[in-house]
Amino acid sequence: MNIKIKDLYASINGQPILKGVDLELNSGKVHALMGPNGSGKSTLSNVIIGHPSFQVTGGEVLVDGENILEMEPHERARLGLFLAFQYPVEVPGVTVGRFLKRAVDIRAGEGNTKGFVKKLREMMDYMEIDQQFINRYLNEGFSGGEKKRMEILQMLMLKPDFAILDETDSGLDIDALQVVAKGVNRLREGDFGALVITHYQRILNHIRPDYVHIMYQGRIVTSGGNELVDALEANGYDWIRKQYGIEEDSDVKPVTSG
Amino acid sequence: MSSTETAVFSGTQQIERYIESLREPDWMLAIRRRALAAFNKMEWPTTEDEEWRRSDISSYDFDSYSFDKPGDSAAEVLSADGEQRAGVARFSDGSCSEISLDENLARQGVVFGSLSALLDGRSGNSSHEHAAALTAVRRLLEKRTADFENRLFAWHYATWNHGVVLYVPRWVEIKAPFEIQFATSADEALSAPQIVVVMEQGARATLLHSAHGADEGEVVLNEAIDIDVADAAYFDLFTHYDLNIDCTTFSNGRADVAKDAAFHSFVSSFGSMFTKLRFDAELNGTGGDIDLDGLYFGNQDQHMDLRTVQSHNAYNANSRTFYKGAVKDEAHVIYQGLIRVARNASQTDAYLTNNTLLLNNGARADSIPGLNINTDDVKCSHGSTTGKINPLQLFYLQSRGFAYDAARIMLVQGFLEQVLVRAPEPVQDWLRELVEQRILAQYDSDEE
Ligand SMILES: Nc1ncnc2c1ncn2[C@@H]1O[C@H](COP(=O)(O)OP(=O)(O)OP(=O)(O)O)[C@@H](O)[C@H]1O
Ligand SMILES: [Mg+2]
Repeated sequence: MNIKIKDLYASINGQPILKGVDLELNSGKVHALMGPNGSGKSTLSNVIIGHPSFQVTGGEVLVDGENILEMEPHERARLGLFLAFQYPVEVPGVTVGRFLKRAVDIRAGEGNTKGFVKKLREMMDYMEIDQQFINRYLNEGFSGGEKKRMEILQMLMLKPDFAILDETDSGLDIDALQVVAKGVNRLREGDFGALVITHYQRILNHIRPDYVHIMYQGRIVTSGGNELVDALEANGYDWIRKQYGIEEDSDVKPVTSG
Repeated sequence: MSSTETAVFSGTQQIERYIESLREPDWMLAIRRRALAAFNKMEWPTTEDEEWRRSDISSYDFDSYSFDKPGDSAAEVLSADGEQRAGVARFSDGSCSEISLDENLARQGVVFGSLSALLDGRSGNSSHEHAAALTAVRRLLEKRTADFENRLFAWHYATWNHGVVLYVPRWVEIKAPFEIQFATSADEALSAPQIVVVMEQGARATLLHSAHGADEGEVVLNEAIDIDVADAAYFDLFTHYDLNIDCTTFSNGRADVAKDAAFHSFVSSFGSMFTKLRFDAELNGTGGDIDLDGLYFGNQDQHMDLRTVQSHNAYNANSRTFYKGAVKDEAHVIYQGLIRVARNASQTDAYLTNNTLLLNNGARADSIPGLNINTDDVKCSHGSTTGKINPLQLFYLQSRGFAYDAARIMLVQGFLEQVLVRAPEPVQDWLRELVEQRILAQYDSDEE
């Protein structure tokens, strides 16, 4: 799968967030996306999947040459896109088992889900999620770490071609982080691609990215390899700003969380 | 089933004549006559009465409904799980079409059957148990009719025309549920069923009850359910209302719960154009426990008014009410819930929750929880929410491949599932199916 994001503009409640994003992503590769709080990383993820709160005001997102911005979110999912949310929502009354069964039915086509329960149990073991979660309501009352693992479990069951992991590493202890990385690396053996959004080098030591992209004030300001991560770790985002001559954006308030 | 169409109108004279024709014990006839006297003195509830503020019945001409009017068909529901029943009582249009009771239970003194048969001795059983059941039924019904809270109550006790009694002797524990079905198919008919349940000390039982009917025919159902749960007994009641869209459903349930006893009711409301359900549960002994659950799903232009009262008259008892439902099309649902705590009922733990999901713009819901607390040292709370489908949940499911409609269905099911899992096991899957059908049902408001 090839994803081309071209000069993408998006706003929320009339406030511009994405201001000309250009980015090309490919399955078979792992891309890292870093950038300060509020720079638009989650907005970009949500716009790619079709979140109704954001308005696209310019540009396009092409998946294998086809513009997906007019598609319903479920149509994008059926193309093989997946988003592991930064803040997964709770869905009371819908059990993990029932939800995943239906979702896998949709993805694989009904009748092609033989061995679903066995597969689910196997993946839960792999993700070190207690089997009792099958009967829990989706994300309801889950800890932060449990929610993140549940996102990766869904990814393993749905086997997307390309997944965006929005800060799946945040709030995880080192053991949980390794489990999550293990989940991603398992799919990586195939023709799977991912965009790993993170603030920390730590997860990138477990999921080695092929490319690194830096987002700043709603744009991708530079792309490169792992050396970018090291430079960022050493010098912080001020360095990016100076390096690329970015003016402090006066109409964007500094924000601490997305 | 009688083949002659004897239309007995429910005006006063007709009711009098009906009462004279009955072969019931004097005490029952006395109840009916007192009820009729009260009926004559009272006016129908109006929107001036707080409880009826949102449910206007002024346009009804109740005298025009006849009772004891035979119909010809009766849908069968509730047996879907194919599981064993402790006993089954089926009525269609007021006549009994099936009565059965597990022989072992009969030997243990359990009484389950037609209330009329018990009262007029037709059952041919003059055993000790029947005498005990009769005494208990009399005590309970006389207590219930000491006064009549409104004209519908009075009307019911004067006119009730079929019914079921369940009597479980001391310490008899029954696992399999009993089942009662009241089916209607007549037109312009009054159906006034009466259920009486007496659970003696330490007894345990479950009852599944459904009032439903043919797809056509206008029926006014005016039901009463009277329950007495003695010390340390447990009673689980499931009631389901699903008459067709031309019908009217009134049901008044009352349960007295004694020391260390527990009572659970689950009300499921789907049918009728106009519904007014009420359930009052009273905790009269220390350590008593009440759970009142409800699931409702209004559609088309239905009007449903559901009321619960959890009354604490004793020290250290618990009660919980959990009513949850969805409303679509142009339906209007009203939920009224009251927690009442008497002066001597300290250490009460009571709460009530009501959540309604509005599926479209024309749908309406009013939630009116109330507290009437007359002592300190209690833990009481209530909460209610009325809202639409959460767009973030919707997007989350869509992002996993669910189309818009499928995602909505799953969210509505999920919303109702939280109360549905509290229904007795044997009816859960069947209820899930009804929920799904109701979600999918199309409504054409211009339809004649
Ligand atoms: N639902 C929303 N309503 C209003 N503003 C929003 C909303 N979502 C995002 N924003 C704003 O858009 C900007 C970009 O937010 P976004 O979440 O995309 O940043 P981010 O790069 O993911 O940040 P973080 O690293 O903190 O997750 C911020 O200024 C944020 O406040
Ligand atoms: Mg973010």
